[in-house]
Amino acid sequence: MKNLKIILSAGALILNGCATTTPLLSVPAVSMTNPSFPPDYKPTNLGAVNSKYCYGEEASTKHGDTVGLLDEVTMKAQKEKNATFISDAHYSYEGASCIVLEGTAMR
Amino acid sequence: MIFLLIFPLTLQPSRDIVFSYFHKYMGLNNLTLEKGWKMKTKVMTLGLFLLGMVGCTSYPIAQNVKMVSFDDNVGKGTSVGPVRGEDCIWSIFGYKMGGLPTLDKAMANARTQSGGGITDAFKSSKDTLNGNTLRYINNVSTENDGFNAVVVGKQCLVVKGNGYK
Repeated sequence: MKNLKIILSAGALILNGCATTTPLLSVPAVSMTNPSFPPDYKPTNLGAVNSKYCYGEEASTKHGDTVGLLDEVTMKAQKEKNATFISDAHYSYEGASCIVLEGTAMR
Repeated sequence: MIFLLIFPLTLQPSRDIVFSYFHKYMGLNNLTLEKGWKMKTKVMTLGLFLLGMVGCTSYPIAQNVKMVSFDDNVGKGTSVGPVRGEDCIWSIFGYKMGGLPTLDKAMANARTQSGGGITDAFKSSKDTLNGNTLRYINNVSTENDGFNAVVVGKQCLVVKGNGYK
C-alpha cells in the first residue's frame, strides 16, 4: 500500500511536471511570411489559433541544422489558417520540450 | 592562471599507467585489463556517436522570424538599422544575482534599445520607455552570450534584428 502511494505520487509529480506551462513572450503581432504590411492594410480576423511544436518534430523553417522554436510554431499557426500574421500572440513552453502559440489568425 | 588550473584536469592517464595501477593494487592480470580497456573504448565510441546524433540539430528560441511587432499597427515603418537587446544575469562565485534571462525582457530591451547591464534590474519601465521605442523588428534571431571567469560570470539571452519605428 505504501509502495503504491509512492508510485502514484511520483506519477502525479511527473505528469504535473510535463504539463507545466511557462509563459515565454506576448506580443501584439508576429509573422513568419511578411516583414511588414501596407499602411492601408485592413486585415480580416480568421479566428483563434492554437499551435504547438515539440523538439524533434519535422520542421518547415529549418536553416541547415538549426530550428527556431518561435519560427516553427508561428509558421505552423499561419499555415493552419492560411494567415499572413498572428495577432495577440502568446508563446509559452509546455513541459520541457514543447512550445505553444495562442493567438488570433489574421489575413 | 585559469588555464594552468584547468589544463591538468584535461590530461587523461595513459593505458600503461592504468594497467600498472590495477595490476599492482588489485592483482588483475593483463588479459582481464586488456578486455576491460577494449570495452571502455567501445563504450566511449558509442557514447560519442550517440552524443553526435543528439547534437545534430540545435534549437535556438528564434532563428529568423520575419516580423515581431510591439504595436497593433503593422503598417510599414522607418528603418533604424540593426538593433540588439539582451537580458543578462550576473553571478559571483557561482551565486546568481537574480532570475534566469527571459525572452520578454530581452525583447523589451531591444525595443527600447537599453542594455542588459547589472543596474538595469533596478530600473522601472518608466525609465526605459522614453518614447524612442521601436514599433517592430524584422528578421529576429536569438542567441546565448556571456562569460564565466570563475569569480564573476555573466549569462545573457540576446535578441537581434532590424528595427523599425
